[in-house]
Amino acid sequence: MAMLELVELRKQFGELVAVNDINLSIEKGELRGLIGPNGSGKTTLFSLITGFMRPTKGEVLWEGHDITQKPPHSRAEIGIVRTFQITTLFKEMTALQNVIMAYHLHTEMGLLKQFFGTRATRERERFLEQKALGVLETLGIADVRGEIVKNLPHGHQEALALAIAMATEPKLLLLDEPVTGMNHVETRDMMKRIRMLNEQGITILLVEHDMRAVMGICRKLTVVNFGQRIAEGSPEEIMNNKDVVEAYLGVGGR
Amino acid sequence: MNKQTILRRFILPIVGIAFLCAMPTMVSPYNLSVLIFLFINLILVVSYRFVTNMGLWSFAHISSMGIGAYTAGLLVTRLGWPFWGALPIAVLASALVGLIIGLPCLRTRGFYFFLSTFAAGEAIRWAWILFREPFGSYSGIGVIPRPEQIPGMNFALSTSYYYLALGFTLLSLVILYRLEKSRIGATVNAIRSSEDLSESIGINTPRYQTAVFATASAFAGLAGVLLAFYTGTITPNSFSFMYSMEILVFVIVGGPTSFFGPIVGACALTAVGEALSGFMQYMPLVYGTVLICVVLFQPDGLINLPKRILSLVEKYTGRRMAANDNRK
Repeated sequence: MAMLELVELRKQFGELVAVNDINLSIEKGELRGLIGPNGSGKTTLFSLITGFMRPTKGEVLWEGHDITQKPPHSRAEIGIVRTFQITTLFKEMTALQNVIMAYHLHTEMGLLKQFFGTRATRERERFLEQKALGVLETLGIADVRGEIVKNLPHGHQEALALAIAMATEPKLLLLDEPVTGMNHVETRDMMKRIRMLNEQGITILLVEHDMRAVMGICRKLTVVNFGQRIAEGSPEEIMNNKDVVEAYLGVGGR
Repeated sequence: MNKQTILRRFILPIVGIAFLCAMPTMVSPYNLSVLIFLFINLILVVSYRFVTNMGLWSFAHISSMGIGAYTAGLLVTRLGWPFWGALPIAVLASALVGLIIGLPCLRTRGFYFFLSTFAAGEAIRWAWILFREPFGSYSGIGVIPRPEQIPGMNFALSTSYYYLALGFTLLSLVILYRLEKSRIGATVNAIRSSEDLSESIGINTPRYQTAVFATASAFAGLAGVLLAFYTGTITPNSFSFMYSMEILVFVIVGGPTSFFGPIVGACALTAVGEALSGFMQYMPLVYGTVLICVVLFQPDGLINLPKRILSLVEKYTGRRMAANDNRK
């Protein structure tokens, strides 16, 4: 059974069909690239999977269960976690605090205990701090743990977004254009991190409009345009696909 | 624990509380009543900030206060309940109404949140006016007796009532402070910072927002009960839009980013109000001017003024020193 399956998923904004009856399935352990030109419906599709939008029709299946109507926080609970396109972080907190916050899901503590700040709570906080630090170390940004996030450079912020997502211990991680606005070095570092997370067993769906960025690390790509899936296959197949070339370069392009 | 933390955590609060306890022996009965109203306002502003901390500026807070006051007033005058029985029911009623208002209003943001809470608040106030039975229309609920005596405290005396108000105020502030410093407070900050990211890391944002809104309403209700039993009469106009504005001004002038900001704001503006008590007609002008000046020149509020002055002084003396060095 596929881990995630989209069945005839459709999203309409008035007359505009942003996602047009898309079928898609992702297997456990995949590092899938979802590409398409600007305005092709990638981000809408992304929001439908993570629950930030509800489809007009169709189903989202998670390990065979229908999750179409679940809100984002419930999906995070079962392991579907996203990052955001425009870097969205808790800007006034430190990098470490951001990650600690993200352990929220896995720190069920009694309200009264929290309120009175018992020793158990304090120990728990210290334990979380260590865990959060571990995540920052894995992603190579532990040196900026004490910095207020809004003062961090762009590349660090994107890496931190990844760290936050990691702290929720996701099964499926959806990355929304994680290398936008990055220079070559930052992009390379980011791709390295993404591949490493995948090797640790996290299934990843990577959304990009820049084809070259994903060619290097994804073994399978899905291409959408005008809200429809126009191609799927290995990077080589996609590069030589007539429809894809047309979508990116216009009819008659090469 | 070093000396400074001992000073801050134990000595300062104890001295402060002792000072407040000694107040009735030092000030006139009139000033004592000013302090009681100030305490009631402190519960209001600090609980109000609990809501604004989520980035949501509600205009239904004073209505929640009224719910507490009316509930307790009716229970005592109509059903002959004792104060100590009516108090918890009134607080619960406020929380419940907060929940009912919160569920739909918290689905809106920004201007629409302001508008919907304002509408809810006014609807409640008009219900008090239009349902003559049991709310008593414009004349409200009259002659609410003072709380029953307990050993050593005869609340018919303002001095005793002062201690009652002081006790409830300190209790409320401690609870709200602990809430803010706990993980709950951190989660509220996270939600204000980014709702989308909070959702995506698994925080049930609507549930938190509703819980915070209802909790703040409960504290507003407590403030309402204290007001009702102190003044003995409550009318729909006791909980007018102007009162909402006043609370809002206290919070903004004091500084909404800090727990103590609204407390400073309420104290400072109450002091200004008392200094101008002979010139009532100037009050709105002064309030307005203060608000505009703070928003323009000190948007972090009065609470951050000392820090700012200090840094300005440092900058100035630093420059002087640099100039002296150059001269050498």
